[in-house]
Amino acid sequence: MARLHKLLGFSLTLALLIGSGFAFAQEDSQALREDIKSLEEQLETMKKRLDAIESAKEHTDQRIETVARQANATDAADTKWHLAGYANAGFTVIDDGSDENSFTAGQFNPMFHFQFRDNILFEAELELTTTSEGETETEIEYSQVDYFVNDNLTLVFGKFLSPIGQFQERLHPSWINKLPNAPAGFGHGGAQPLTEIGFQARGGISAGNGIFTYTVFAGNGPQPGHDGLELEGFGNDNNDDKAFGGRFAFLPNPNLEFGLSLMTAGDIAPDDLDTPGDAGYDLYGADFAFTQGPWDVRGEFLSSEFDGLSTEEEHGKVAFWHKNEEEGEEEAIDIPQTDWQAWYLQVARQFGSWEPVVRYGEFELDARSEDDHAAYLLLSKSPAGPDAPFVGTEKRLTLGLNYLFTPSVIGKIAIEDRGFDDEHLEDEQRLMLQLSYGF
Amino acid sequence: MINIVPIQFLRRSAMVAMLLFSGAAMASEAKPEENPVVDPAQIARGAQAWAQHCQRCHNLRSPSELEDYEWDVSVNHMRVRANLPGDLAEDIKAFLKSSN
Repeated sequence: MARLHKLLGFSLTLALLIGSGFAFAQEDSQALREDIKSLEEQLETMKKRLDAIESAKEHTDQRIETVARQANATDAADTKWHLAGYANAGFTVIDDGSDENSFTAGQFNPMFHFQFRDNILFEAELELTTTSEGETETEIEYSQVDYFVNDNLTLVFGKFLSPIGQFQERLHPSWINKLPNAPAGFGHGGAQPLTEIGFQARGGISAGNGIFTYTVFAGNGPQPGHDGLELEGFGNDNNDDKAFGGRFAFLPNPNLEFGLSLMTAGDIAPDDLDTPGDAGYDLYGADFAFTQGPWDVRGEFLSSEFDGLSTEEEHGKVAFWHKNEEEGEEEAIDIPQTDWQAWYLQVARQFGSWEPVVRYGEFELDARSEDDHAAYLLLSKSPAGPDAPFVGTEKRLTLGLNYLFTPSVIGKIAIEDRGFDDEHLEDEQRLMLQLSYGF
Repeated sequence: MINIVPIQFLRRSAMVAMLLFSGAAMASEAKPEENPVVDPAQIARGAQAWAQHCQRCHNLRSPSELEDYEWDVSVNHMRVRANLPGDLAEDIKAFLKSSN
């Protein structure tokens, strides 16, 4: 009986345990199902998020592929081109005893750059100006083909800016020039050659931390004209003599540059003119630049001489018979033996967007004899406008203040004092305002 | 006595496994692709050359002013003007094109 009781007790206990376990299992099973359902819902949510990310990535990949295809097409194109240039307008007041003041329409200089693959670049600049008579003048400043032979040699053919010095080739654009006008003796009517038509070899060679640069050229050279000796590129040479020259510079570091320039033209007389001797032209020059941070300090010096042009020599006076194309007559234009000298020193410093500038320069035109002096006075009466040549020395001091709206949009105001030791010219002061835009 | 594995442990393990799997899947999809063309050393040289040589003549203009193909042409024009060595010009191009 006791054994039966033990057996019954054990069975009951076992049944109770199993029953409670089963009940417990049923409760956990319900919780497990609920957990599984929750996990499934979360999994579904994450799957949807993954699908959305996949879709966005696919769209982004397609967009990247499209952009890359467009970029590759542009980079792979044989011809690329770029339109640049500059323009300016302003107002000038001249105080030379007269009440002259003028708004200046300035000029518009578009520059066209066309590149074929990696080695050939065609570049040209036009200059469009409004004359004092209200007419539009169009000139080709330069039109040249550049061939990049290697890292250190570029060949240039065509009409190019004179590589003599710094100002004409690199600094004359109005958004780069720190003042509204050129230094005395530089630019039109001065001692500086402006352009040349011919051939150049140029380049730069790294030398340690420095760079050595060179430019050598051959061209048609200067020719006689209404204003005397004209230092611009002529499309047709009047003789078989060529002009040769170049500039050599050394930059010990990128902030400092020293340059030397040379030019020689053996004979500028036309082949059909019987002259007793050669009318040679020679030039030499030196320049430097220091640019670091807000500072820009630079200077240039040019010295040139011309032997004069004559068909007959009488007491040093020379005469050149020139056919006036407009009137169909021959007229005598005296081109005396002459020496030119021009130099300037310029200091500029930026204070945020403001930039004060100081430039002092002198331009000297020295005829070699009294007869040459008289001949040059005759020449100076030619209708060459404000840049007519004179005999003597001009001393020019210019004080300017620029405001940089952007690095290439510059507002300039400057006052200038010009002193002449030529009795035929009055000293003058100028107030100049200019807005220039480089694009 | 029946030894029943705790359900909480199973639940937690399942959730952790699911999170790890989905996280790994998302991480592999988000891996950035590398641009094989960019040379950081050339761009650094170009940045220095741009700052030093371009300001020899004019104020520095923003790289964002031009598109890549325009910088190819414009820098070559400047290379002629300033007589820059060709490799220096290429460094400047790389910097400008990576910064526009």
